[in-house]
Amino acid sequence: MQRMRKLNLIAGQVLRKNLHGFSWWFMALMPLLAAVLIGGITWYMSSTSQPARVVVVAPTPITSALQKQNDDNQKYVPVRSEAAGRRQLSNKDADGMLVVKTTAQAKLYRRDDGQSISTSQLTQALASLNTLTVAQSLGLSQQQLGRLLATPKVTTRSVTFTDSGKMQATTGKSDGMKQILSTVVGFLMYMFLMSYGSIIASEIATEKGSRIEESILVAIRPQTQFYGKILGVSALLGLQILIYAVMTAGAWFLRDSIPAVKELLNGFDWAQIGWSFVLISIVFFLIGIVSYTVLAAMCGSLVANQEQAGQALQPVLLLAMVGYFASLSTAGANGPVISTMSYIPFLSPLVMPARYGVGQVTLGPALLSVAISVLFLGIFTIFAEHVYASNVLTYSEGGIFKALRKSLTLLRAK
Amino acid sequence: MLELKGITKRFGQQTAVQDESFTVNPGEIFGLIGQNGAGKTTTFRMILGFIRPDAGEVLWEHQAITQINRDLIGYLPEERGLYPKMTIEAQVQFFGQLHGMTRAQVNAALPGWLDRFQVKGKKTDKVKDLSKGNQQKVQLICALIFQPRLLILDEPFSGLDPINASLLEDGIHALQESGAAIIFSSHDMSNVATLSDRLVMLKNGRTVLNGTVDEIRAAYGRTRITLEQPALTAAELRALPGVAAVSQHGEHFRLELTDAAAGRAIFQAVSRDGYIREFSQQAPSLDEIFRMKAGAADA
Repeated sequence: MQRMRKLNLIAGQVLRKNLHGFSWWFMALMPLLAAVLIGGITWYMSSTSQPARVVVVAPTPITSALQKQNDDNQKYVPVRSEAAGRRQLSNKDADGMLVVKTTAQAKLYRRDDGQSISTSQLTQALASLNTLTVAQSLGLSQQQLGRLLATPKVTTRSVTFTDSGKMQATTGKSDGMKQILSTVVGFLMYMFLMSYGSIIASEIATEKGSRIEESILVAIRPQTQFYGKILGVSALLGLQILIYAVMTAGAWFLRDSIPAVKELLNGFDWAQIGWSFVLISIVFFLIGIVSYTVLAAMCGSLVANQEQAGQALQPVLLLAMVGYFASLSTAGANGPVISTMSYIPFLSPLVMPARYGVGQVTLGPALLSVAISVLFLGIFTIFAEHVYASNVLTYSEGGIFKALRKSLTLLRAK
Repeated sequence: MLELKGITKRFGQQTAVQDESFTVNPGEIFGLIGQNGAGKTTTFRMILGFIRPDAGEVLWEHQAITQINRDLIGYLPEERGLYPKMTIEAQVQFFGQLHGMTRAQVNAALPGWLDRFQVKGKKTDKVKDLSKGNQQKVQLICALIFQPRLLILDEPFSGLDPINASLLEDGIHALQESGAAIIFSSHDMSNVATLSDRLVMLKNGRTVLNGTVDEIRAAYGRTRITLEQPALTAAELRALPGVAAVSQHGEHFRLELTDAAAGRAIFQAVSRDGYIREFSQQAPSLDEIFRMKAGAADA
């Protein structure tokens, strides 16, 4: 009972200190700010950009057919003569002038400083008209014409091959989406892992360095303090996820009222991302941050003061960097190294969501990796707690690895 | 009651504390003195359960100190430390609650403590904005506000001016009256002499003095005489039987005797004109005893 009260007190202290500071809010809100900024810019650009205006000098059937191709990017406007078209070009009323003699022969004049004109769209439109004209001249029926213009149906299946050579279907996301997913997942994980690791390592190093630790440990066991800090960081993490959930729900409900939000949400291909990917990412996000927090707490207890807090973060940084770069290369590599890394604790939270996201693995292996990480986290936390307890009041100037060796000797002697 | 029974602590080949024993009763102020590295902080750390003795035991009310409710222990470490970005109130709240107080109890008690130690600043001020002396007082309040039954103060007077030192003494006495057992260390022997009911001096981890200030001084006999305007010169004083050394400070002379019994003959000699402004025969001061013990070769 008393231990629980003190555990909660330490957790509350960690929570309050961070909520009163700037760093945690910056870290938590930065992705949201970035999303709002990107959404805003996208919306602004699309709302302020005008379609390219192409004046067309051509027989009426052709101009009418071209006008049917008008869209948000390109607009065809008929003019009577080339001279009238040139005037519009010169007055900057048009971005280009298309002069069509026959559907098989056309000339496009475009202003250097005008909106960009899609020649492929234009060529395709003229090609369709040309096919129609030729078909009519050959006396083809509508049915024959339909068969002539039919687009062949191509079905795509993404597959991988197991070690035994067996072919397996995957979720088959596009290469662009694969790259984006693995980069975003890896980057966000890396950023949050480092931020939470830094929060706890510098907190412990500061408490040790300022000798306030001695005053605290008079009333509380180091183990209780250790778990209190982990609980405090977990509460911060929960709060961060809650903020994201509330903001996402808010954005979803307001998507029709705020154009920028709609633009941003439309930018994501939700069908390709999938809910299982979101859930796997959240699970690994939680496991990853708690794992790195425990590691950082242990390393923080091995240094003598706040000046050495950077040294405490070195192992955390190294591990996270290995995982980060592995996650970045996931989309382009599916070899045994990346595959093995996605099951190794500390690396798997960075690598596995990226692999799952790009469709290299199915749900089964991803859940196996979760199980390995959870099991390891349990064992590692107990180990870290012992190291913390034996080091938190020991002041060694010989660096963290020397301090760790010393504490391992002490643990063996107990 | 705090009991240390034959505790020994070694770090590798070095013995930090050897066979140390003493008791501190409720309502008693106990001084722990010794040079730097004598073993005072190691003793405190063993009492606090931070390190385990290699031999012996530390008991509180006949129970191992590691098994007791830690809420009742107050501690002021030698190296001061607080959370600089926290307000005074938040800081004291944290330590008060850590020792079992409720938020309301801390809020009710805090103004009284700030007043008692004359802390200059509002309770909403951040610690980093306070002067060093006021920060020290806040840390002291953190160690006292929950009315500890056992209070350990490691060099509590260091860095305090005489006014603040006497405020601290008052605070310690107030806690003593409430029945707390108090143990403190200090390099300032005048603080130790005026505050301690009993004391222990450590040298290289061994106990070399143990008792009340009067008992310890009495053990050395009244071998110091202070004189003002005696009838004799310094050379004549030095030549008197039983005088080991003479030092002069203005009109004052201080004599060190080989035997306290020589005092009577010396009094007659220095007052042969029928009058002397000051003649005082006393035991060596605690400061002198400390210097003698610290300078003496190990037994």
